[in-house]
Amino acid sequence: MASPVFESHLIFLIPLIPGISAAILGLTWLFGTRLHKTTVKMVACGSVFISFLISAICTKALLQLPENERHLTQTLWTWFAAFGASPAERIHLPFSFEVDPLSATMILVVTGIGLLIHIYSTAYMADDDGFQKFFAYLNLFMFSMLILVLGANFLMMFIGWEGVGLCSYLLIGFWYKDLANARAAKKAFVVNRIGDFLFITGMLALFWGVGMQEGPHGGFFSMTFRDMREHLPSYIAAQENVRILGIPLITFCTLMFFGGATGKSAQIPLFVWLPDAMAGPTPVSALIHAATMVTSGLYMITRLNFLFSLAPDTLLVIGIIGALTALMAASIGLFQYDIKKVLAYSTVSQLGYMFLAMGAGAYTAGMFHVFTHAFFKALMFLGSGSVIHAMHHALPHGVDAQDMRNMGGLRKYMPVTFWTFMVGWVAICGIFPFAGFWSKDEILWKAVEHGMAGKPIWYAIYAIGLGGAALTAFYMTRQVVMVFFGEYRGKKIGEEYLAKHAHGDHGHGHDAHADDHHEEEAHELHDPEESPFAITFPLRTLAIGSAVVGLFGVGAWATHLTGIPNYWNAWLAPVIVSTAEVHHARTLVESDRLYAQHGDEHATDAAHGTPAAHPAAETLKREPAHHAPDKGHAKADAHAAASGDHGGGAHHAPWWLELGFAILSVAVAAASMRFAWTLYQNHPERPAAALKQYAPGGPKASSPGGVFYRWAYNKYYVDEIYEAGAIRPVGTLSRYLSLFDKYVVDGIVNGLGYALLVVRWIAGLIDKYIVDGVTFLGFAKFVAWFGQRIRSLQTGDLQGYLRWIGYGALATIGFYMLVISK
Amino acid sequence: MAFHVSLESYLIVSAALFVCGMYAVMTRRNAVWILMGIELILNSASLNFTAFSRYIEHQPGVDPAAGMVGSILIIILAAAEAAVALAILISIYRNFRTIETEDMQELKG
Repeated sequence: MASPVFESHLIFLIPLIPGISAAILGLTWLFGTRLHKTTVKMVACGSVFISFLISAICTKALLQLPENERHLTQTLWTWFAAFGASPAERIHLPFSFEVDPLSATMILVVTGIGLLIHIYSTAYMADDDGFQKFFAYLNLFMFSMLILVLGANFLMMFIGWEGVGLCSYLLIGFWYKDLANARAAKKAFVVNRIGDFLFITGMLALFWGVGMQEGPHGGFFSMTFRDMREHLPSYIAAQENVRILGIPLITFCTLMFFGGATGKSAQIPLFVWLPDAMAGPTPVSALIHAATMVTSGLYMITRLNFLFSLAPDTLLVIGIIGALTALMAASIGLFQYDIKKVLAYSTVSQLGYMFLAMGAGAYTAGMFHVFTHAFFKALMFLGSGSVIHAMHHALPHGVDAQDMRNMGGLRKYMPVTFWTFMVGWVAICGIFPFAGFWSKDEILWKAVEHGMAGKPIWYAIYAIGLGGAALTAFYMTRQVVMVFFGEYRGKKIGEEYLAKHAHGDHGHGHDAHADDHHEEEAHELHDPEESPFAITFPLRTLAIGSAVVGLFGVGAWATHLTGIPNYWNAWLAPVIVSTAEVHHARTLVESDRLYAQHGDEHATDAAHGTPAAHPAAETLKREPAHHAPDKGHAKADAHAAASGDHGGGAHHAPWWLELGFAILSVAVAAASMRFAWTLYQNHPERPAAALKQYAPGGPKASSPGGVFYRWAYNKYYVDEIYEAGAIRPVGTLSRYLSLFDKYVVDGIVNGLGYALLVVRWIAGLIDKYIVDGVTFLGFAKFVAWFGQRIRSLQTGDLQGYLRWIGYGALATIGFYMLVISK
Repeated sequence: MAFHVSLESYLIVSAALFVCGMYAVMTRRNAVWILMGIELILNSASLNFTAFSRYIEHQPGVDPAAGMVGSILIIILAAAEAAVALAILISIYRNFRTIETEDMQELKG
């Protein structure tokens, strides 16, 4: 049996190998070397594959450890350190990686799905000029993402956090020659900066607030997650004692962190960048904007769950925002025609569910949805990419290859894409027993549990979530029908287009790898064809995953009926702070306070040893007894952990109630699917006619339905609100500031310049007439004049010189004799 | 009773030698002649040294060898000077194919 020490020495290779690959591909590209495409493929996919293997090795090593010791740490070097007077003031920040069940899950998802998407991209991007650059970026993304999830402290995470933002920007703007793409990239970057600002604010506030507080729990300055969790009393004390802007410290910081997460994970109010991010190549949308990067906000919350659990107010905010985002994004998705935009809003909506789970304190349930969603959403994005790929070759240039109105009936042409997409469809709609069913159902059930625990607002959140699920089923069915069923509309539309533009002007679709089409090709209409194996292989693999991964985390009712345990919750349980742990920490803080008040009388307080001498937190190790090795107990714990510490107690609801709610959500989803199917498959003309009525200018435009349609169709005017509320004021402000710059600052600078010109002119005059005229030129002229006079003395005649010597000698002697010696 | 020659006699001979040398240096255009004139001038100086040395050697506080040493120094110097000067002359001859000084006026102003 391999010792974990060995595996922990491998951890740094997981991010490093894709990083090296990115450096090789990127630097050679930068210096103008175009590697052969086969080389690029081998390097890019190979590095991710090795990374995946090492991730698997590390995960296996974790599994061999006892449940409470499941963490492998590797410290590469000390990043920085500062030394204070007391041990508590010493700051030591190592550059270290950590694999625990949470990060192990993430690295497996990132490298596993990342590998499939790399393989997919080799075919999808095959005709692109930027092939090598694309894979350099993609590998760089893997590098950053793996650092994000493997980082053992805040700053490591932040490196990755910024790195993925950068890669996202680079890849959204991959086809930067199209201005819209460049704008989308910029938008994503700027919006993410807002989130990042909040994130780093929270980070610094936390570091400062916890470290600077008074009392036995102050002076804790570590940013390493594991240390932080072991010093839980410091945070509890800070929550009670330190306030920022009147908000308790931990609540403030977690709100800031959540703000960062809304940027990265596209939640209200910062979700606007994600739909625009679809400007990037489809594999990028699948990898970054569906499966991995956008879940990093969720990862961060789960990583810091011990902090979030201390701040119920933050959790409520997260739950509400998540639910609203889920519903709102789903309703926008109803009216989109771009195949990728539908999936983008669907992603925002699904991320909303995950945040809803986080808000309910059900971190494991949220992460489970992250996990399953990574499979089925990556699958659907890749499927849509396959469709777009085919449509590009089938449609003439000017026709949008991403508009679902140009598709239809593709199941006959693309059977593999069709079948795999079907799996994704039932998975996201939440049909038993596919992946989405288990994870989404778990989330909704947690909301219900919270409601039953005496927080009625969670019933409302549940209702919103259920409504969102119905909408999800509706728009996904709409998409499936519009793309794969009915008649193929592309041929007719293409012919009409060609007839209209006989001389073919060359617009192109959003997802244009159109550049390398030849002109003649563009004028022929092909039937759509199934994509090559490199595309269908990832689709098949992900389809299998989407079908079965839900079984890792079955609901309690299924455990009750079949005896299959919920592996997922048990696996992640050590990561999640338990009720008992929080309770224990609170007791320590409480006894410390009593000790501080009555310390003199009770120098040896039996309740608490010697709290002043050593930080109380040191005594807080996670209770080994709490996670007893026997299966049933661990399972119950996992469940307790998943349901969060606050409110507790709710997990005793009977299994049949949970089953009832599961049946209800499946029924709602199925009804919604049936409804959409009827509308779009059986009566395709009806929705169009109805929409015409509700559209602006139509007879029902001012009815509530019309208002809803107009709002949802225009994405609730969020972009416009930002435009009016933020971008334009900032623009105006900038213009005024630029006026200041132009007239005041530039005036000063230019005035100084003119003043210097005058000074220079005067100085020039002085130089010319006084310096040059009197002194230097005067001397020069004198020397020249004198030289002219005496130059004839130098004759070159040796005897002439001697004569002068002789005259000189005579004169000297004469002078001596006649004057001096007289 | 030794035959006594006065100091003035030496000085007159020496001055005659100097004037002969000076005359050669000033009037001859051939560099070898100039060199020979310089030798005469040096010899006149050497003779002066010896003569003065002879007439002050018995006075107190005077090193009797000082004049002799000066004289010998001049002879050594003259030998070295002659060697260097002849080498220069050969070099000049190689460049100009002449040793007439009036043909060597490249440096005139």
